[in-house]
Amino acid sequence: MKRRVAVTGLGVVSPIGLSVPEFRENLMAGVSGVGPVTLFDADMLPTRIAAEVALHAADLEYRDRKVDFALRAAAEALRDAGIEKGGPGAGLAIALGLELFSLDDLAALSRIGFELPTAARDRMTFLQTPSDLCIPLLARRFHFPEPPMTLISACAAGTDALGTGFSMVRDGRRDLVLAGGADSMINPPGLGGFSKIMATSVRNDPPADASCPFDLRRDGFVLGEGAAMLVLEPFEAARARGATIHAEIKGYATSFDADRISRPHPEGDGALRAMRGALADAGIGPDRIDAVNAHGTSTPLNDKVETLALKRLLGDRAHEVPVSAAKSMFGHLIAAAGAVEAVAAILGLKSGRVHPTINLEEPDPECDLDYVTEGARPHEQEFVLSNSFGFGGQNACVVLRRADGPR
Amino acid sequence: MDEIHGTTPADPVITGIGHVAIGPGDAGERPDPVPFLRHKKERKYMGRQDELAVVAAGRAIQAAGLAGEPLGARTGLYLVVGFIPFERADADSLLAGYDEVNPLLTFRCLPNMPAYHISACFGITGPYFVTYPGPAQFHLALDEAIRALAAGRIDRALVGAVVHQQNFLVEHHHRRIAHPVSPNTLMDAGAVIVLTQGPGEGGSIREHKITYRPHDPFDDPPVPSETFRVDGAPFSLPGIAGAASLPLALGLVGRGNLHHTLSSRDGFLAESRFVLP
Repeated sequence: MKRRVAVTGLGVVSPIGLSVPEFRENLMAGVSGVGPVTLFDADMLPTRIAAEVALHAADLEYRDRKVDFALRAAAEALRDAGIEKGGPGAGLAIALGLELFSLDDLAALSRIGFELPTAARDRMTFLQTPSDLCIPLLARRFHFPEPPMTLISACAAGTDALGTGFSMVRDGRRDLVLAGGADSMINPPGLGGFSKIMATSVRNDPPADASCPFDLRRDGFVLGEGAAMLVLEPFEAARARGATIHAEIKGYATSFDADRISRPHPEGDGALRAMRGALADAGIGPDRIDAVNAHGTSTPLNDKVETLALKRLLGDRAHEVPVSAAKSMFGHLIAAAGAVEAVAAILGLKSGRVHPTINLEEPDPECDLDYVTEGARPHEQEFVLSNSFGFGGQNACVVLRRADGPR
Repeated sequence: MDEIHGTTPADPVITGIGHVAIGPGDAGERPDPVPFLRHKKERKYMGRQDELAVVAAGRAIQAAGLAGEPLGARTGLYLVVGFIPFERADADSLLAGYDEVNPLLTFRCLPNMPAYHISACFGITGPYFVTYPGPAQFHLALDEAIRALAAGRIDRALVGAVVHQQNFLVEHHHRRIAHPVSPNTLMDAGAVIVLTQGPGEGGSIREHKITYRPHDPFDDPPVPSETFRVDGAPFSLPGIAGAASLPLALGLVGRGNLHHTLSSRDGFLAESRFVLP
């Protein structure tokens, strides 16, 4: 028997806030978290802007920023859920960015002739592959003893982590899941690599205007960093213990484009298949969707194809359903994107508002949906569709429902 | 604990296994993915990890009698990707500055690219589960595939793993971690099994279970160990195949009863039994 799945805890570390309250305030106010790159000298790159988290080396326990992001977000989410630690039946479903290493590490390694570092801690963190650290640290610190799931489907991974955790609670495999994602690619190989393939915006000045999903001027995404964690548990168990239920997760599906490496399927077939799959999994039709939390990267192809796929999904209602893209404010958090954006959607469900898509000032004729551009829009929603479409054609969608159902 | 037992008629059936392995010291050999490419121009985007994944999947699909037509939306892909490979020359190019970096490097380093190449080459448009980085995660991928088949979400699953370990970064990683591994023992490998929902002819999964022990990665790193027995006798792989060890063993054994135990360096304990007719 399938169990209903409640979201009872939220935690965020993002470019627009280091906690859920701060994130919510800036999200609804349309505040941009994009600025000049400060984490390294980006002068040699075509892209010199990013959405950085306002935490500096002195604030961090680990060399790898994403590990700290994950630990902080997890602590907030569990605190929010009123849970001190997991216990039997509790597991992780975590999306991790797996960028290779920081160039500082590589340069340091070069200086010592590529010999091994000597200190035990440095041996674990130097040139690390992050899941070596992040997963066991989360599992041990918060006592999540069931086999952890690590999702690495790039830009879709955050939604995949949420969907995997949802499936495990629904099926009875887990009684508690901490699901989410953490990433930081704002380093020379990360930002440089995306710049090399012309995936990132070069509209460096002013930085806050660069991420403009669905706008005619869009020229690439703005790289962000951060983490979000969500506590998932059986709805009835959450209600029985008196937990605050932020939302329900009702459906999840994935698909491949199986098309070309450097572009989404031109008709949006893969995206459409994932969206329809998530709705089918939720047991609802497209007529029940009240808002769409778009992938909305601000890349020329994604936004056009996502628009097309949404038209195919929603049919006659396509121009009536509000669509918004949070990446306009905090950029693309890659593996963490789906998790942070799911938190954004849940905050909208709870407050009866849809967060804005900022910087959409010159409409693209090929992007003609009802994008929320005027600021946060009052709009009661029962069901929201949240999309993540990965580079390489991996598509993941979740359906979220307001905790108290229809009004 | 995730645990699946039993041999009811509805159990999944292994209808094809494909593998490719490059033993320790054979780093110069390269598998040829070209016969399997749907878009020949995409060859330039492929690193060795992608090549291994496509060749292993192609051979598994052929072995299952499925070659030719796109596999479509009723086929899912459940894939484990090993540690991200990085050659010394690429590291040097990064240090030399932005202008020296090959743009294709980005494609070769993204962990989801092997899954992309398999999906594109064989027309897989169904669901996926892409995880990382070691042999325990193959059990998790296998478990996800079995559940998707049992739930009727898919008709067949490709379950596999790919590792490119004979390179600068992964060798460095294995030298520096707790309980280090000699680079001379590392293999490159890809291995994929095709599962369909039973009843039917093929191999069967008689037992499959996995548990996890939370640990301190600094002060209490688990000691890794892995064993294989075929019809009761010890069996060894030619080197350390990481995430691909179990499917590679299935491919190399080909026939018989395979018993696998694993205590992974990331804290998992797993055990499984397979019967390959």
